[in-house]
Amino acid sequence: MKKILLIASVFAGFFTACPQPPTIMTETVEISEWSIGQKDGSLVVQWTDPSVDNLKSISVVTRLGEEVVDEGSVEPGTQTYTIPKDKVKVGESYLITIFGLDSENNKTAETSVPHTVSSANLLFESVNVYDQYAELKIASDASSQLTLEYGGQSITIDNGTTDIRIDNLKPGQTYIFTLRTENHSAATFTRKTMLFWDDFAYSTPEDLTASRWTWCHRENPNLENHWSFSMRGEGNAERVLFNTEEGVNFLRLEGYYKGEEKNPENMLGAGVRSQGCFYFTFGKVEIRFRFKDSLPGSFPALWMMPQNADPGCANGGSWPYGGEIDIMERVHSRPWLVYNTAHTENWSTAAGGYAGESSQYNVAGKQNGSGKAEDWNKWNIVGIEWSRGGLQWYVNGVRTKWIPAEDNLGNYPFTEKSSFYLIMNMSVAGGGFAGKAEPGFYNYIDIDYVKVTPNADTIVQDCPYYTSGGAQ
Amino acid sequence: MKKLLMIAVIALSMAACEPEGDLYVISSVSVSPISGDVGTEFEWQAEVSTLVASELTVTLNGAESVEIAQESVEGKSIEQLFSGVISSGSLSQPGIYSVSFTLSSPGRTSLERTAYFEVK
Repeated sequence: MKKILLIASVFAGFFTACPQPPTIMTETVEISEWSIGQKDGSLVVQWTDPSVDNLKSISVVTRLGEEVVDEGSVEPGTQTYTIPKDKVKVGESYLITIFGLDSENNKTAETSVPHTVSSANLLFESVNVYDQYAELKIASDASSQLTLEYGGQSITIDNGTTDIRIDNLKPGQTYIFTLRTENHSAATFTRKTMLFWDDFAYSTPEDLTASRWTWCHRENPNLENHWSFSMRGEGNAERVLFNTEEGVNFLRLEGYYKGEEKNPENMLGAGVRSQGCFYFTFGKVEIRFRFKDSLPGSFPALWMMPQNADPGCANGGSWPYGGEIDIMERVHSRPWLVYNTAHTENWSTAAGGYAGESSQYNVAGKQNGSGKAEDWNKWNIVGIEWSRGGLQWYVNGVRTKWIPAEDNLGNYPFTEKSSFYLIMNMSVAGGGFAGKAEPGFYNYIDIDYVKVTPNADTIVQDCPYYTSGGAQ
Repeated sequence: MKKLLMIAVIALSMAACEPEGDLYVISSVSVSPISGDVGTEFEWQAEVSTLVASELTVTLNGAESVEIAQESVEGKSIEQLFSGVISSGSLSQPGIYSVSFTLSSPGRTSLERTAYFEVK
């Protein structure tokens, strides 16, 4: 039955409109984030669930040589499994294999990790690895000093230390962290560092622009009734706030139409960009954000522009030939939706106007769904995965749009020869696409964090954020 | 049977819309032995099946990420086996190491798999 369904689905794919969204075969996915530690003589295995549709279970099999000494399965979301102490012996080396099963019993790729059991209890209680640093919390009852090894480095951990911060990590690189007592590898975990991270734990606007961001500049200051009027703002620092709510630090970008007199000069937005500081080629961007209101003239956006356009692009890679990726835009005419859009030569000019390849989604990831505007007043996550294969947008983890690289885009600009930077702004529009703001207008977008993680295609750029610690 | 079915599905899928992920598969990766003393010579191995010509990049993640091999993979191939030796000079410190296997092709999303081994 499964075969018939599978073949039927393939033929169905043939006759439906191409291209279809990419399918991820369970067999090709692996568990890339795991940790192994010891507590009360037992081995504690932890992991991040793999991105598989309809994941049914995660299994952990422990072998000593060829002999299986323990095996068990847990439900998705559990993300931890304990190998009982009566199944393992101090000094022995075990092979611990982790894999997932989907609802059709397809198996993910196996992840197999060797582990030599120590006499001490050692555990990574929490692990947070960012772009160039990591914060670790350890639990240990070892009587001797511990050493923590990673990337060829070795540091000594004093007895009683539980919180460790590690700096100077390289972005987009796989690290294996090992906590040792004497000669035993008693606790181990692996992570790939992010390409970029900001959770906006700042106090002043100067903090914001010290290392990662620069202010956006006002665009078309003399142009009235234009959709992009005041899109990029100026005097941004006055309209940037930092706040903490229920333990969440966030950045607030505000937009105003000051005073009662209609004067375009009083339309003020705020925006920051990573241009010239952080840029990347291939990776996944995730931004957690919320809006205040939807008002005429309100135009918040999270987007990307080329730092280096592919040299093969026409007209020197100027807009739109070099491409533009709009992770999220929201306009008043459809307040329950955000737009996912890419602009290229074909999509913007050949179509005879500012068109773009765009779709609109609500918080459930449903295209053109009616939804509720107030859902965007809560925290939501938008994302885009950029790979050699194309662009995939996500709303709260649900894939909402896919543009394959082989699509007929003419001058496809999102290639390995390009790099893109981030822009976040709250604009005040003077008409058109986003509506027309009136005097007294006030609105904002809050941003909890911006995270850029590498994928298998990522090319880490030698950008100032990494090499000189900030914007140039 | 399952592999044959998979290849059949790959072929049909390619004829239709060429969905990502169906174009190539890394069937297995391994390093052997799984555990050995400093000075041990370790061997990596990868088995791949692809419909499009691809490149297999093998990277050792230690103090630095070091590319240790790059192999051309023929298109329309089933279960091509690649292997190589990891120089013991790159493994001078005890610890857990990993080898990443990345299969890539222009215009296609890459696939990545990892194998772990221990130097005692």
